[in-house]
Amino acid sequence: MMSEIYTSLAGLVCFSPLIGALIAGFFAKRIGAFGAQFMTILCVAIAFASALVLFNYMYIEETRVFNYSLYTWIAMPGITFEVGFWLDRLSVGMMLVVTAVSLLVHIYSMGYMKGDPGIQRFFAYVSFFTFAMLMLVGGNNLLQVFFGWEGVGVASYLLIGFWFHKDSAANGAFKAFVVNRVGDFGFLLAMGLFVTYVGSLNFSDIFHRIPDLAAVSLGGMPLIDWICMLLFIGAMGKSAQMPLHIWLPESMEGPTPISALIHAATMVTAGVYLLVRLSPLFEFSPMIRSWILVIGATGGLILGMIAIVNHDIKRVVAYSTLSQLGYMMAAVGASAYGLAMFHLITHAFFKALLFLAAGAVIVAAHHEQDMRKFGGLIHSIPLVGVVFAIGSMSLMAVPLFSGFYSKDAIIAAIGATSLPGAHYAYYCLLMGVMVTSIYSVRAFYLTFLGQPRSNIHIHELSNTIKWPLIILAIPSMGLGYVLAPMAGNLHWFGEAIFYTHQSVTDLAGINGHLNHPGSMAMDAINSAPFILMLLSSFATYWIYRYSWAEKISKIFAPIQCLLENKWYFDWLVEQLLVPFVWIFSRAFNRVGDQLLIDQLMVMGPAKLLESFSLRIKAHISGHLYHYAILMLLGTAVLISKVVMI
Amino acid sequence: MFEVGLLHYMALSGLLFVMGLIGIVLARKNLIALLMCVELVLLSVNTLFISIGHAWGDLTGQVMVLFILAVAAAETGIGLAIFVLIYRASDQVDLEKLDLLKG
Amino acid sequence: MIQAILFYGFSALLLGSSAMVIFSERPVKSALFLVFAFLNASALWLLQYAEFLGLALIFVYVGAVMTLFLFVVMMLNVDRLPSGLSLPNRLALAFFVLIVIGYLAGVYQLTHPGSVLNIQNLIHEPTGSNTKALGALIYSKYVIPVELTALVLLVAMISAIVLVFRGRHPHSKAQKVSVQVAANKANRLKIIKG
Repeated sequence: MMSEIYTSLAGLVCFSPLIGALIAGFFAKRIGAFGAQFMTILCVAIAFASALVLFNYMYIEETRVFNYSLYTWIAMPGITFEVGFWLDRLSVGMMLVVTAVSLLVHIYSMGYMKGDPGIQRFFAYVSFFTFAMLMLVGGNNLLQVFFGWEGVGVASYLLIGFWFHKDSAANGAFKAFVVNRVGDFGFLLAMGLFVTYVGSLNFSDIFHRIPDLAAVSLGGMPLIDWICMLLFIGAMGKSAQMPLHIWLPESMEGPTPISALIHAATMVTAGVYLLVRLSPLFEFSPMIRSWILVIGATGGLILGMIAIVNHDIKRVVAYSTLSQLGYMMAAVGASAYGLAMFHLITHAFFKALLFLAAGAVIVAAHHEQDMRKFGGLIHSIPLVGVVFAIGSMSLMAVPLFSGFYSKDAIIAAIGATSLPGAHYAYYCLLMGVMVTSIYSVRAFYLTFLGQPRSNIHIHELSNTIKWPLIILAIPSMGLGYVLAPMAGNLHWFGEAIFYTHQSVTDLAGINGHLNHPGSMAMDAINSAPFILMLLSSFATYWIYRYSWAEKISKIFAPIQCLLENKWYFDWLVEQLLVPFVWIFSRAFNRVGDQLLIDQLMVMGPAKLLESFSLRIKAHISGHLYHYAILMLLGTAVLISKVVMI
Repeated sequence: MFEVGLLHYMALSGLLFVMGLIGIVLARKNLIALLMCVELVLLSVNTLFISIGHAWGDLTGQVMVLFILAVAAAETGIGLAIFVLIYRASDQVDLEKLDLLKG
Repeated sequence: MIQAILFYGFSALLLGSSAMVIFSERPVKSALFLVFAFLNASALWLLQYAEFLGLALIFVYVGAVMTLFLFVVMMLNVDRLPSGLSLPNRLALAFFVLIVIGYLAGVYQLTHPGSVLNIQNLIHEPTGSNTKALGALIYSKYVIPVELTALVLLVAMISAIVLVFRGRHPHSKAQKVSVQVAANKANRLKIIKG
């Protein structure tokens, strides 16, 4: 009885966005712009409500893991691929976040996309995006996760390139797609290893076989290290870790609601979610976790620094996402999976808020994104200013705001862990706090304070834009406080997350703090992150207040050059990788595509048939009785074949 | 020799069938003659059905013949109508001259 | 014995008349020989106690279909048409085909000794009325196919009419039923105030 309820609820959560997407996509002409909006929002709202009910079962009524396979997709000897749901506290919590953010983004898009000719297409894509992410989150096997993973990739490609007539949008979409493929390759290889050594892609089978996997060695390295490395490469692509982060800033070419969705709920969180989901594997691979820690922390620092010199309001927020993803990854590396999810959830809300607020600024300023042209907007759009400030403070980890709890806990967890590289990661992330404060204050100052720097006629904002901002501002402020005691419990995701004994002892100290959110905020006042944050915020404020930015940038010219070129990551890729890829692609295109496929395989049979037909054409008389003879002969051959057996 | 059995009827209908085939394939006359030869072929098949049904004591063969008769009547009717149309269009129903499908 | 005589007699007539159908030069002659072939076939069917079908063949085929044939033959004005093969060639061909068939049948007979085709004397005498038995069968077990066959005939009739019908003659004096049915008071009555 309960299992039926779970199955139907999970089905509702996952498939109603798909239905919305199909309706909006295929009946676009018939139902019109409003119909498409209404249907998709209704479907996502149903998904959200179902996720709420599931949340109630999982968290309030303390239900255990629920594993149900819905449909056998491929059955082969030795291996079966299924579609099914794996419901536990982790996946249901994630579903709730995804549907909540998606619902708000849908509503916000009504205002943001008003008057766009492709509005039905837009809503269909967004709903499909949500569906793919939900399939990824709810899947009970890696193949389904991979399906969602790729679905998310496709949807992001379509949405980043939504305004495909703009070259930059088309290129950004292409870049996002290609860079993600690199990561997906790692994921695919990891799945191959699972198929070979486990013989199944179901989570239940994989988790049972972990001790065996840990015992096997492959090429001088334990098999589990290989698997974790490949999975991490997959997550690097999707969650934009160095050096596969280069697609994320380009994704800013899409409509702003999409940026919010990609950054908050449906795409970049997928990698983190995957690692948390497979925590039992990573717990047995301290070496890879160490790498995750180092890469995440490095990204958290240096990618955030790029935001300091960027002038595009959306890109600043995008780089801040890169930095925050670094924090989440570092938390995964430090075995603090619960904290990684905690930060993922708080980040989902305040980052969605920041993006939607940035989008509101952009709408108000008639699609101007350059912060140098803003200034003093707090007087004309006070609501957006206030919510942007709330989001920024949450991002900067101002005590009592939701970002504070998750971020400080992560920093403390990394300080407490004993993995190699933990010290380096700890200082990286501490510096990261400073960097975050600098760019957040800078973005806020440039946009909302000071004097207007150009004549921007402010466009009126509709209610569908305002309300999601107000709704998102509430969790951005208070969610951390509410969730902190839960996050303080190592097992707040129930059995979904596995800890080794070592991790439990490392993390024990942090959780005591989180259990008392009020006193944690008080204690933070004399902690290093808070002091760094405070100092750098005020310093930034004064720098811009007295216009010292020019002078300072002259002093730090080399660093500025480095940052403005994004640490030369893109340059390196373009100089080192792209030429090779270009040569190979061209060769494959010539030989493989044009010669082998086009000429031989596609045109070959056609040409053969054509020459054959031309030859026998002369012998066709067109008389009925000749056709009758041929038919008779054919029938005779057929019958003799049957009779003579 | 004087005991008439199933094989005799089968031989008869086989000969009739071949007769019809020769008419269709080799006696190149006109469309109407062609249709008559088709009738011969159908008649041979009907005879076969009836003989086998008779030999096995099963009426299903006769039921099949009934259906074949009905369908053949329908086919003849439509075929003749088409011939009338062909005649109207080209003033002849000569098989030798109907070669629009010639390559 | 008498059965054998009847069988051989009617068979010879059937094959002969069907040869005439194929080889005669006049279409009308062909059609009449086809009628004769049908009559012989119907006699052969009667020999096998298929009374209903034997008579139906005469009524339906000879009465309706062959009449249609003759009608079309006469309407289309096809008189004499040369055939494709000369008579000796035809006979040689027939002989050749006969030998091939005989050969195949012999091979079959030898390789499949226990085949159902070799049932020789499994002839059942019917017990009651053939028509009654047939009717009981087609209106119980085969009722849906029978109705579908009726539908096929209806469609064939309609399509034959549609194919050949060229529209009403412009000066035709035939009555137009639809116009008559659709007529109302205003068409026919004219009130004259005096």
